[in-house]
Amino acid sequence: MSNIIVFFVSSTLQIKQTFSRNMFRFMMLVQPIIFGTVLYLMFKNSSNDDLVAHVIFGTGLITIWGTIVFSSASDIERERRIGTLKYISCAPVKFIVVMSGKIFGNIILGLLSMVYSTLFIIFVFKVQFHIAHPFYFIFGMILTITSFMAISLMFSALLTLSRQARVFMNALDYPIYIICGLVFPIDMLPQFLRYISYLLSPTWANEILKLTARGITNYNDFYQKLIILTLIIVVYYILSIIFFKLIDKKARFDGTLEVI
Amino acid sequence: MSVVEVSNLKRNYKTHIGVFRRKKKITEALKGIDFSINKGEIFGLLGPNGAGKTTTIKILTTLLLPTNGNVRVLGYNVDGEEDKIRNRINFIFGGERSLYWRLSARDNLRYFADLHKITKKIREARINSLLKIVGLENRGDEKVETYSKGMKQRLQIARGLINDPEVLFLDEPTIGLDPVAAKELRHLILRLKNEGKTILLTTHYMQEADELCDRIAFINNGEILRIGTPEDIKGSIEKMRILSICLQNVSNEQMKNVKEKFKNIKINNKENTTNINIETGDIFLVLNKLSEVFEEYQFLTINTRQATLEDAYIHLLQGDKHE
Repeated sequence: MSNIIVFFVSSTLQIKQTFSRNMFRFMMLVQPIIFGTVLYLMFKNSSNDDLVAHVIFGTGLITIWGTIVFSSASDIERERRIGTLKYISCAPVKFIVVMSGKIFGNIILGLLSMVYSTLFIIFVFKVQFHIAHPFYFIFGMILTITSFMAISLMFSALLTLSRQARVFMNALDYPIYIICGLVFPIDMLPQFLRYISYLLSPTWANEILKLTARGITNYNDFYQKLIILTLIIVVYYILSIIFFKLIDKKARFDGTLEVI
Repeated sequence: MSVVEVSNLKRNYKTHIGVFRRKKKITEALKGIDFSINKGEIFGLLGPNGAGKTTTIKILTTLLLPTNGNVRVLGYNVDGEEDKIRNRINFIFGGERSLYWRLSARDNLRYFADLHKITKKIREARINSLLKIVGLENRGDEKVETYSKGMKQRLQIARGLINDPEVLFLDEPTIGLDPVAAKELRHLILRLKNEGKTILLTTHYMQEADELCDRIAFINNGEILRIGTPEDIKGSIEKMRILSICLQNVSNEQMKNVKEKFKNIKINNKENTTNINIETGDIFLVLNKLSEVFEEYQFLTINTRQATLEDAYIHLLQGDKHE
């Protein structure tokens, strides 16, 4: 019970803290408009399907990725800098519970931002947003969010060990947009990069959401994608649990819970 | 009954030097220290910067793992049984950090209470009580970023007491506080001791350690030099007096002479006057030697005083260099 309380308290604290930062408000409110506008200008002469796939989903996923993953990594860095990381990582409650709560808080904010960016694109650029399979779309969204939460959790565990968490996250931010096909199809990437794309959940999440919007023509292919994404999520969670068990020892051995 | 037991504690830090041809460097922060802290005791860990005080506290609070040795807190090993320790201890590192500045004091305390699995009913009552104890009851709903340094440190004390810990670790808690705030904090520490809490305190202020601590350990270069009560430690240099002499118009020649005659000497020059402090067990002998160097008219004042804890600290750190 106390774990559930800490989970939700950590989420609430995260939302309060995050929303009080100007930079985050910029990321939530201004950045989606910039991404949406740039992607719209890139695809404005394409079909409506492409506009939905790359402008609406592209912007939405970029926004939610930026919000969740970027802020989760910078949270570790911030907690370390302000000196609270040592308290939350050595509290009687498991660190993974605290971090999951924080990431969940970021997801709520990320979703709000995603909805906001979608509405902006629909109303400003008059893009017709039609979902062919609403049920599968909702299911796909849940899987997408779960996968983003899993990937954030995995990164936050690893970044606890490094004092350069923010630098690593900055390095990971933009390549993901390209490698996962959020900006343009991954078919345009060299083959060796596509292997990396297939290991990352946003690639599959993007594919699934696009299919639910356009219409599923090959259900076997769609189910296969759902299964792959589910398996990736399971692997991410297993890795997160392993990493969190390891970091407690490793961080205490290396002394990386503080800035100095 | 020992609440904290430390035996042969060693801690190394591994760092890398250089950019291209990186070399591994091992720094020995603790070189095998031993001590124990009894229940209800205030135990002071004193030493210069880099002596190993904070490393010791971090190991005892389960923030760091020892490289070697046996460390038990409340009977449990810090390496492997930390889950049994964490809810029964708390720690406060001096300074303004370790709080969420964008949240109110009350929200900060609520969050840390939840991390310690404290029920809502107890939590709210305890927060009100702690805010009152640290004098923040009227500012508890304001954001921490609007607080002064002293208020933030007082809030840290409240945070450190949120789980009603049996053992409290205080790392330089009064650093940067004004004298009134520091005095209030010392009163609070004594009050906690009277409530039966065990406290480990590190400080650079010897007077504070003398006033608060039941026992003190002097640590330097990762080794404990001496452990005892403040009286024992002062008593170990009981025969020693500090002779303070104020002189005028001291020449360079005289300065050179006096430095040659006395090893344990501190000299401060200010315009035409020179203050000399000498540790000695034989005041007349020192005065005789000084009279060989200086003329009678040069002596402005001569004072003696008993050695303080600070003198003992400096004496121990400098080694036995009695003249």
